[in-house]
Amino acid sequence: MLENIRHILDVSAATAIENEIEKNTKEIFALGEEHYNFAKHTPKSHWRQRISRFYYGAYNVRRAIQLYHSGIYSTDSSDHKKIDQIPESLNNIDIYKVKLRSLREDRNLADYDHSASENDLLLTQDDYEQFVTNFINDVRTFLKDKGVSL
Amino acid sequence: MIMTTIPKSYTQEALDEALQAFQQRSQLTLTDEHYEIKERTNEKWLLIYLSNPTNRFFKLLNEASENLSEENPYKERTILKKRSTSTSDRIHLPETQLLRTILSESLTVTQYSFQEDFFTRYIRSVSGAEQQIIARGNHIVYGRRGAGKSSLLAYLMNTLRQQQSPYAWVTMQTYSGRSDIDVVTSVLLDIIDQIKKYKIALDELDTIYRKLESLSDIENEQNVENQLNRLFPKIRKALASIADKHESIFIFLDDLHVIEQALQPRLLSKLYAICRDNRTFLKISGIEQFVKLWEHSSRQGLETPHDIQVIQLDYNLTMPDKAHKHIVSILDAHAVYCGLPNVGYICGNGVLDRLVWVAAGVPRDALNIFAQAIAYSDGKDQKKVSITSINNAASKMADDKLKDIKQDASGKYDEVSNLLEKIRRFCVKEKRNNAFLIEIKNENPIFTQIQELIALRLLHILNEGFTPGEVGRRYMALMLDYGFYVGMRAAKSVDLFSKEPKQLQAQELRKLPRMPL
Repeated sequence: MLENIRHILDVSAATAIENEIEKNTKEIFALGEEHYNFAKHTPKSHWRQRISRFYYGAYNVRRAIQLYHSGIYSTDSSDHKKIDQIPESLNNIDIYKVKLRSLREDRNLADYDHSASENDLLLTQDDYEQFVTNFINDVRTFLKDKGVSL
Repeated sequence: MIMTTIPKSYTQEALDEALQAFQQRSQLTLTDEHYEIKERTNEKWLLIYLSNPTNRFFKLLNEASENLSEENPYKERTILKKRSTSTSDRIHLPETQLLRTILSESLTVTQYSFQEDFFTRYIRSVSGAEQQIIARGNHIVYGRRGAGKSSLLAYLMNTLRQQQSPYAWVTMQTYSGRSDIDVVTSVLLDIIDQIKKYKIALDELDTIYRKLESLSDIENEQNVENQLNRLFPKIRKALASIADKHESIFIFLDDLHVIEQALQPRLLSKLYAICRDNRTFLKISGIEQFVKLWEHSSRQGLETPHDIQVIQLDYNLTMPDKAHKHIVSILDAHAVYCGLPNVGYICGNGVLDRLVWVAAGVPRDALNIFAQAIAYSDGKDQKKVSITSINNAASKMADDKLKDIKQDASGKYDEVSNLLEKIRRFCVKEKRNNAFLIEIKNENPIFTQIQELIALRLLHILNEGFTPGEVGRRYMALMLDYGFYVGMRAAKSVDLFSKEPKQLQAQELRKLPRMPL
C-alpha cells in the first residue's frame, strides 16, 4: 500500500506512516491473540463462547495481516463477509479461506441460534482450535518475515 | 434447532454438480459414506471426509467452488473434514484407491512425470545425490532398474525448467537394441529439435537439422559418420550461442544401457565432441553392468572420472536402514498427496518392513509391489494391506523381472536364464535356503553373469565381500529374489534367511551355503 504513495512522500513522512501501520498491526494482532487465549482457557462445555472467541481471534489476526499487507482497515460489520480475504502468499492459504468462512458461519450459529447444539457445528471445537492456532502461527511468521517485531 | 427454512435450490443436481467438480480435480471417487449433508437453520453444507485434508485438497476445493454456477448453493458451503481415526476399513477408502492409481502412474518416471507437483512428490536421496547432479559437469547415474535414476535426472530437469534454463531430454528407449550409426543422427536431431525452442541461433539450427535429416538417405555407415563429423563444429557453435545467453545447456540421455554396448562409446564420443569445453553438460542414466562408457581399442567414449563422474544410486540390502527410510519416505509422500496421513495408516503390522525386504531396497519395485498388494487386499476384502498381499505381489513381480532380462540384457537371455535356474535349484531344492555365498572371482564369466543377475534384481546383495574362512578367499552374500519362493510360488520348506530389513551380522552370513562357480 505504502509503495503506491512513497514517491510523493518525504522519508520522514513515509517512516511515520510505516511506524503507525506497524504499531496498529501489532495491536490488532494482540487483540486477536487475547480472544484466542480466552477461548483456549474456556472449558469445552461452553462451546458457544469458545467458538465465538476463536472466531474473533482469527478475525482480528486476519485484520492485522490485511492492514499490514494491503492497508485495509475497517470497523464496518460488512467486513466480516470478507473474512476469507487474506494475502495469497500466506502459507496454507486455501485451508484458511475455507475454514475462515465456516468458522464465521459457526460463530453466527453459536451466538444467535438458540436452538442449536454443539453437534450442529461444521467442524468440532478441537478442529477449530487447531485451525486458529495454525492460522495465528502462519500469520505471525508472515509478519515477522516482513520485519514486524511481534 | 428451530424449524428449517432451507431454500429449494438445494437440489440433488446441485449436490451432484458440487461433488463432481471436486472429484474431477482430486481424482477421488466419493461414495455416500464419504460425505455428509449438514442441515442448518436456513442452509445446508456439504462435508467431505478425508483422512488427511491437506492444503492441496483445499486448493482443489476452492478451484471447484469457483467453477460452480453462481446459483449452486454449495458454492461456498462445502468443507473438507478430517475422517474419524477409528475408521477400520482403510483399503476401501477413496484415498487408498487413489494411492493405488498414483503409484501405478509413478512407476515409469519420464520428463513429464508429476509435472507441476514434481517437487512436492520428489523424495531426495539419502546420499545427497541431488547436490552432485546439479553440478555443471558430466555425470552418469548408475543403479538397478527402479533405483531412481530417471527421477534424479528429472530432478535436475525440473530445476532447469523452473529456472527457464535450456536442456534437451533424450529417451534412449526409442533406440532399444540398436547398434547402427543412425541412432547417433536421430539423437542429435532430437536434441536440436528440443533446443530450437530457446530461439537462439535458429537459422543455424534449422540448417543443421536439415543436413542431419538428409543423412538418413545415406546407406554407407562410414559416409554417415564422415558427414556427422563435418557437422560437429557447426553444432558446437550453435550450442555455444545458447550457452552464451543462458550460461549452460544440459543434455539428458535416459537409459543409455538399452542400446547395444558397441554403440554406446561411439555415441558418447560424438556427443562429447559437441559438449566438451562448450558449457554443455551430459547427464546420463544406465545400469552399470550393461553400460560401456569407454572402448579401449578404438579409444572412443568417456573415461571416468576426468570425462564423466559416476553417481551410484542404489540402497541395496547391505544398507537396510537407509533403504527402509528412503522407500517409506517415497510412499509417505505419495500417501499424503492422496489424502492419507502416511503409508503406515493403511498397513498391517510388519508390512512395510517386509515390503522393503522383498523389494530388496529398490524403490520402484517397492511401489509396484505395494500398488499390487493394495489390489490384492482389496480383492480379499481385507481392511489393511497384509504381509500375505505383499508376498503375493512380490511373487507376481518376479515374472515381470524375468521379462526385463529380454529388455536389459537382450543378447544374453539364454545364459542369464540358465544361471538363474541353476541358482534357483541350488537355493530352493538343494539347500532349502534363500541366501547363499559365492566366491568373488572377477575374471570368472559366471561371476560376471551373477553381477548381471544382481543388476536385473533377481539376486540381491546382502554383503559385498567378506572372508568367512580361508584367508584370501572373499565371498559375496546374496539372496535369491523373494518372488521365487513366496506367494504364488510358496515353498514352505525354504528357510528364509531374514524377513525384514536389519543390519546383518558376519556370524549369520558365515553359516550360509556356498555355491560353487
